[in-house]
Amino acid sequence: MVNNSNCSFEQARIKTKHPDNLDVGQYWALKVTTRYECIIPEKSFTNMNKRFPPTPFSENLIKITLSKELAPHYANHGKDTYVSYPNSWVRDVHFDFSNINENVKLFEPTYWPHYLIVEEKFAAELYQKCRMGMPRDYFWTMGFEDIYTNYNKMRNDAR
Amino acid sequence: MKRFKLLVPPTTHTPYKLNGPADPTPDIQLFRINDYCRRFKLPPSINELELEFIGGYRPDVLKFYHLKDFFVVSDDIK
Repeated sequence: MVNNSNCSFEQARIKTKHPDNLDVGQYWALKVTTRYECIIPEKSFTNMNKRFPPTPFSENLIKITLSKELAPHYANHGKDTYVSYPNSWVRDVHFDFSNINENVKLFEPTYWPHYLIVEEKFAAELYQKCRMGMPRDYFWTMGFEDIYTNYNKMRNDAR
Repeated sequence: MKRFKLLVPPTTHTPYKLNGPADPTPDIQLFRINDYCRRFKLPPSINELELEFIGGYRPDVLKFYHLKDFFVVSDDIK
């Protein structure tokens, strides 16, 4: 991931425990730190009830001032402010990918930290490297249309 | 031209348990009922956290875990 994604990560060794004390090797926590402001907020929407008009992200921005204790770990705008586009009832989201470095295959939208963006081919390669024998749900990938409905459909299909 | 997609955590059962201290999180639900904050960095207690493999008789040891705020991956996947 680190070498092939052209994405920067915060990294830390993480301890593991296996009930049979098997040596499973070293595991790592990886936090994506490559971020691009690429969402078009006027063309991205939330909508709890489709009988009513959708609300654009530009009118539904979350902006909170953080306490001194939390700011170092959550602030993504200035020193003490957390800013985010909504993550619930998200419908269509539009992006402008023109400023993304052409080699970057994984990144986080700057003010939408609930989601990561991945290049389709890289995601397929990563999945193949992760799977051992039986296919598992290591992660899911999905398009940018009606995200709320489609994510719930994936959840239901997976049951 | 590159095709991008969203990468999201699966909601299917993943056989692990995370042990260790829970760090403070913003009480954003005071303001926005359905929202929650995501970390900008790894949690401060990351060095004290322990990923415990759980599951059946011989628990699966997967190479990749999507923990929402960050991934936990094996050395070869990293």
